[in-house]
Amino acid sequence: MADIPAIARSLLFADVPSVSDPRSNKHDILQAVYEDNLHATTRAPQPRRTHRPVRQAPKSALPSPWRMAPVVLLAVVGVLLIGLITLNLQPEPPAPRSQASLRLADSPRLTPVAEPSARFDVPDLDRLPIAELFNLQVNTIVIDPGHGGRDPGALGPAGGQEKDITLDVALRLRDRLARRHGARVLMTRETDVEVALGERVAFANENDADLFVSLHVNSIPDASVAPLETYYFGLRADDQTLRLAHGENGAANYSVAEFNTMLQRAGNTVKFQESRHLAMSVQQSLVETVRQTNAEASDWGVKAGPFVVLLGVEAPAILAEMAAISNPDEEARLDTDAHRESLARSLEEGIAAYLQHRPLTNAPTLIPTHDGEEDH
Amino acid sequence: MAKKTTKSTTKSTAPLHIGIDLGTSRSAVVASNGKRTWVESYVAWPKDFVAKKMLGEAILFGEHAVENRMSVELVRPLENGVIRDGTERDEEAVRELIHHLIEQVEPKEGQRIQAAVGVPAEALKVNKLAIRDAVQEYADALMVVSEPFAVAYGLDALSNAMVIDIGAGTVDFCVMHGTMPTEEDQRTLTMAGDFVDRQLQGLLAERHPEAKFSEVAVRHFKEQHGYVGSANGKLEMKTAVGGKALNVDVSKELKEACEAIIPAIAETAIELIARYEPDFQEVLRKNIYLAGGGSQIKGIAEAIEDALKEYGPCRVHTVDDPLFAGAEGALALAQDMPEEFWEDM
Repeated sequence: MADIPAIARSLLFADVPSVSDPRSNKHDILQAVYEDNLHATTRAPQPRRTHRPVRQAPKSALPSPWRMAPVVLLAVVGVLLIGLITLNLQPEPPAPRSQASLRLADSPRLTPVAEPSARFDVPDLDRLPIAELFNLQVNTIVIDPGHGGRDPGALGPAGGQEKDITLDVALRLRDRLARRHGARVLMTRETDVEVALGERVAFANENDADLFVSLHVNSIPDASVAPLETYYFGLRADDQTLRLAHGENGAANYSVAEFNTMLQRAGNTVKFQESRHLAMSVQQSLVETVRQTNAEASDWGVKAGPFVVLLGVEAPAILAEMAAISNPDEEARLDTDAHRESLARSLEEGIAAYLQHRPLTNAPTLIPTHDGEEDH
Repeated sequence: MAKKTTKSTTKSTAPLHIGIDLGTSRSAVVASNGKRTWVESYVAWPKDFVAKKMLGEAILFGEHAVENRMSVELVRPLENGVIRDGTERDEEAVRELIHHLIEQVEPKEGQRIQAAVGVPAEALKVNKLAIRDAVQEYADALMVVSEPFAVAYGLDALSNAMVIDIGAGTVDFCVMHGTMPTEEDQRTLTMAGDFVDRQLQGLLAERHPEAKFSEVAVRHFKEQHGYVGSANGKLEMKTAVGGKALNVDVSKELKEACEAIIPAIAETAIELIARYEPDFQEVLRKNIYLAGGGSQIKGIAEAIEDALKEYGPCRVHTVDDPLFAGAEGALALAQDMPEEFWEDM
């Protein structure tokens, strides 16, 4: 990636300083203190973390990168179509078939890399890393601890409650993300309170979330299995996912019109791409971490599922089922600080890896680079 | 809310520079007029009219507040190193504490007050605006910095040094490399003085179940006699068993409780040092400064040196005046700050 977003750099690498000049400049330090304090005095107050979200969030005056995505998408499609037309109008014969498939132009300008053909072919949008091309930054991360209050979520055989685990891990994750960089990390709930799914969605949108991470714990009929799975929004789902989504969507009270509006917004390619990449990164990190303590943990992978929180949030959004409380051993582990901390750490690492390696995908993504080599 | 009495209305006299160390356990203030004092970071309000009449005060601070804890609502606003979110009482307590500290250095009527305030590193991150709001009511201009940075500034250890500020709520680590430290140069541990107190109380309850030890007595005893390493004879604590006064030897428990924080401190120090270039790591290991009340635990500098020596040669110094080191550093910063910078604050 040519330009890693600042947040990714700060999450992944220490800005390792060099040995400083022993004659350090006191004036520079004082100036830095002054600027830091001046920034604090002129900055608008951050929203209180304990604020309950309102049902319908007003739209921000400044569009978030994700809200701009349809415009960006159109612009990119336009550029590519012009590129294709230009290519087809070239007087030179097309390159020989054997070299044509991934040949890149010498010029560093954006050039389509798909196989040249006589017909106008709309590029495969799903393979176009729009967020990366436009270097969209991630400034605000919203963490959503599932369930809460009267809604305990899944229950373990020894009485453990999903709502307590998700909240504890979320608080740890928030602290970790906040400690390691200056990103704004917000929570949909910080205490054991019930928050409707619609309120969670509104909270994320109102606060211009750039990433939305919903934390859940699974419960499945076969208590011997300890699966890990991460979802991003999608309508193609198997029966099991639909059942799970039905359970997690229980508290949503959207009208058909509201739901339709959200579905239209879900046509947002950037959100889909980024959600899937984030889900893959988090899932990979979760599996690696959990298998250190439980070699039997099953990797159920990344899936698309129609979860309301994932649909409504305008930012890339995922839902991680980070354990199965129905498994007695898992439940016992989930009761320990060490395991909850390691789950928070693995989520943090998954988010950090996504931010650095966006897009992280098994499918090759063809990106022209300046030196004329293709990037897979 | 006490009425604002100290903020200036004119700029006729030279400004009074104030350095404040707003600590979890103790807060100190020093001023450019030579005045300096400290107070335990407790604020209390009488519980009811009777208590108010009996005490004769609307608000109490420090030891006086603790002594009257039965008849007051006692608040330690920076417990755990931060103002807890949404706790208005804590925010009010911080305001009152700041006001009290500023009044202690007796600014002249109408004198402009320019204050630098050192706060626990975690509070700087979480409560910066709340702290600014609290101080702003009583100062004309202010800068808020982290406590370990204030200590480093006061020591003139602006490069090639690491300060470990062992407070009550947190242990704050800060590496200085010639620039203002960023979050990457700092770490915070919550295993600090209060953790030692809880450990000690737990050990005493376990080994001397018949005796009762109050929280305050345990803390005072630790502050007076806390040690790690080898003991110098018996350390006895006064208590009562079944109404009969008794001295209990607690030297072993005290040592165990104090030593409980060493591994975490050493591990965090190494983790932080390891982030830098190898050459700089060695320089850093030889320039570690311990500050805060916890630095007064006898033998702690040697114990940390001992824990770090497997990584290479190291040297751990203890600051001379831990109670005032943060406030003195903040004052030095306030005085060095160019006037034009103050004007924007």
